[in-house]
Amino acid sequence: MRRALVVVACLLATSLGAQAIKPPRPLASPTAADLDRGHALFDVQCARCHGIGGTGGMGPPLAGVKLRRARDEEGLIAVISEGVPGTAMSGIWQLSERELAQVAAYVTSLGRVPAVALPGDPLRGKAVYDGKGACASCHIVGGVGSGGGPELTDVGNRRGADYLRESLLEPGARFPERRVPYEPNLYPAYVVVRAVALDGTAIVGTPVNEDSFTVQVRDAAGRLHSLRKAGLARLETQEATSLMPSYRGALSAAEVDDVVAYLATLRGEP
Amino acid sequence: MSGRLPLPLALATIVGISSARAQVSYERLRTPAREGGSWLTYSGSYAAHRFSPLAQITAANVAGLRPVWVYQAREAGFLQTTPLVADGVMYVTEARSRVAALDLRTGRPLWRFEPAVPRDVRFIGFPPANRGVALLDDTVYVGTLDAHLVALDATSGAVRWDVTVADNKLGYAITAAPLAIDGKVVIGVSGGEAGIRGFLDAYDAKTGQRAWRFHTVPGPGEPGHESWGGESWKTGGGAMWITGAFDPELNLLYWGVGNPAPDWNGDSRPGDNLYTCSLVALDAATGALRWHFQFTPHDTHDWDANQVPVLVDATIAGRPRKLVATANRNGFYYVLDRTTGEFVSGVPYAKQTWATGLDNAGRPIVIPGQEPSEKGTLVWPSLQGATNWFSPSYSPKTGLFYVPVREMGSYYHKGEAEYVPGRPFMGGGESLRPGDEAYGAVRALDAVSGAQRWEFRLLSPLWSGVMATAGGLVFGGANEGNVFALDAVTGKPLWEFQAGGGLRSNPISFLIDGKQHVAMAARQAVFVFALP
Repeated sequence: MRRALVVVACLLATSLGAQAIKPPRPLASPTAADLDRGHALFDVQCARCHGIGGTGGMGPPLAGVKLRRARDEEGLIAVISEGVPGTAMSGIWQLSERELAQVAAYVTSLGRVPAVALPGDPLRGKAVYDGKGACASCHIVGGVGSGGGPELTDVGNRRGADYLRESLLEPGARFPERRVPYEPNLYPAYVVVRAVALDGTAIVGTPVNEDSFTVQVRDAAGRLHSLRKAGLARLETQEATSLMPSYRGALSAAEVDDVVAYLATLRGEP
Repeated sequence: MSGRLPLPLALATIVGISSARAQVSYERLRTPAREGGSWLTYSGSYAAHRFSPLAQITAANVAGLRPVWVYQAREAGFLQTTPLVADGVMYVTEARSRVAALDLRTGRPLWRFEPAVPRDVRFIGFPPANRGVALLDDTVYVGTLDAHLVALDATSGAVRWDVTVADNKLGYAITAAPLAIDGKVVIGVSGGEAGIRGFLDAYDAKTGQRAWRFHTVPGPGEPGHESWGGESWKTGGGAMWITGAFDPELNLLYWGVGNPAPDWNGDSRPGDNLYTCSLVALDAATGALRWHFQFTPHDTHDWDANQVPVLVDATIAGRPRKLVATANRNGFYYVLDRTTGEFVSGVPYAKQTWATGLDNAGRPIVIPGQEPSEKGTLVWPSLQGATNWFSPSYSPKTGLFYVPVREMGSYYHKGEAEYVPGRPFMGGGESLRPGDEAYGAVRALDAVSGAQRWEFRLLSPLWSGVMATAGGLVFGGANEGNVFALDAVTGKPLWEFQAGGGLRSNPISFLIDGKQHVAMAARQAVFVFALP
């Protein structure tokens, strides 16, 4: 599949820190003004990942779906304020308690929007995934496949359909902001780097991790290279490229629709 | 080594450097040059240089530095502590204000103090960290998350006294290390994101009786009160959450003051909002304000002045000057006369996009339209500033001021702010810039002019302090777990150790059995390093 578009994950999660006070209660009966305010705040704070109207993007769609991490609106407020560890979702600490509740009310209202029907057929998409697409040579679904690329077991929970389609056609289109996101929101970014040693030999692959002195690069063959930066002449990020090949031309438009529809059904459940 | 040791030396090896009783007198605190083997106070000296006069570890041999012991904190949470070292004991603080006294040779705990911090303790806008203790005579002082100041017997950890500094239910907390001076213990409070009214307190070291209190937000009738519109002074913020410096000759304390509250929405507090985002010089005997210098009038970016002020003596234009230098969160490096508060010089040391410069008095010439907005206003530095609470260092040997830097911009948002006692009172915040090529750096500045001499770049904006040594090194730590040493003159990296957890702490150096060691906390463990 594709690499994640990386939002510079928020160190505030540790610097401002989890507050030892309880998150606010949901609004008992949100007014139209509350929903408008929640909508405006959502567009500024959330839509970059979740899409305008919650249609999804690099983050999961929120419109027309049952939220997986939030059982109820109280749980939703907790997810918004605390974030999801190990993902790009950092806690939105900068809202007041009322604003937080207003955003949650708006997101809850999105759940009542009917989900957009996808044009493809998931069953045919699975056949392409397993056959012609040879997707399992780099991706794991439900424990099956190879782990060089991102696991897709629950990619339907993590990405919107437009993002999935773009990933198939232009895997390098969305350029991650950082080679490796900051801790604590550390997660694989699947950027491509080219590490050129002082003797001129080069390694191309994805940086699995990096610090100021070392970088750990996995090449397309799956080999891990642990490198000291002092031994490198250059460490270049290869913009707008991906280790994943584009399926433009390799799959028909209908097949792409089918694969997108299949991926959207992957929810981490057997 | 072979053969039998002469008896006195053998005994010294067994008894080691431990004296029967720790006695950290005020005289010892005043004379850091004679105490190079110890680390007796937060910044290593009252002048707050965070400079070690030890020179056994040098550019030539630092590559051989190895860990000799590790202390794993018992309490969960990042260590932000500066350990203190005296008389064979290391004093470490952990999250939730825990104190551990460790045997200096081995790291084995000698005693432990766990204050009864309530489960529902409030710490609004920061993690439950603690940055260290103070030592005076035979007593250890620690501020607690629920805003108590506690005096502990240095031998046993038994409580000598415990006073309530402020009401935690209103958002007051203590994370800073106290500063012990002659007969007094000075402590500031956290809580700037909860609309507290900040202050600095001094307590009698023996009894815990409060000697004085300096309010950072002047009340009615006091000078500076006119810089707050309406009733905004009551919830004006101005926390003092990082340990300051002290000049015993002038008998002045130098302390940075926090941001005004609410942070990012200044509508309710028209005016300069004195003495927030300022450095204040206080009479150590009375707490009376001698002078102030405000770096960021009417701040709306959370650029508090809770950075360690560093006392520097230098000759300017042929005239010896007593100076105080600080790299402020707002991106400027300032040099002031520490007797009078007069502005001497100020230059940017990191990218900043909010001011065209400073005027002759040091007041920023602000570019219009940089205030937070509902949709977000892109400004450098980011909310966490060009630097933050972690310590800079000054080396009298190189004349350089070493500052850990955060090169980063962000979108500042303005939101609503309603004061509810003991709840967040912030009025907005920041969102991070997509595509941000944020990075960290240690920069060496000429301490007088602020001119940059070198930079060592790091992968991400720093959260750890630095320490220069007489051995010609600068030690520091990175978010990704690297503890490192740089050449103090060139900035060249000479040594690096992966500690396996991010660093949010400050380094120190000291002697064990006459041998130089360096200590720094990474994530939840204190690492102690020495040459083989």
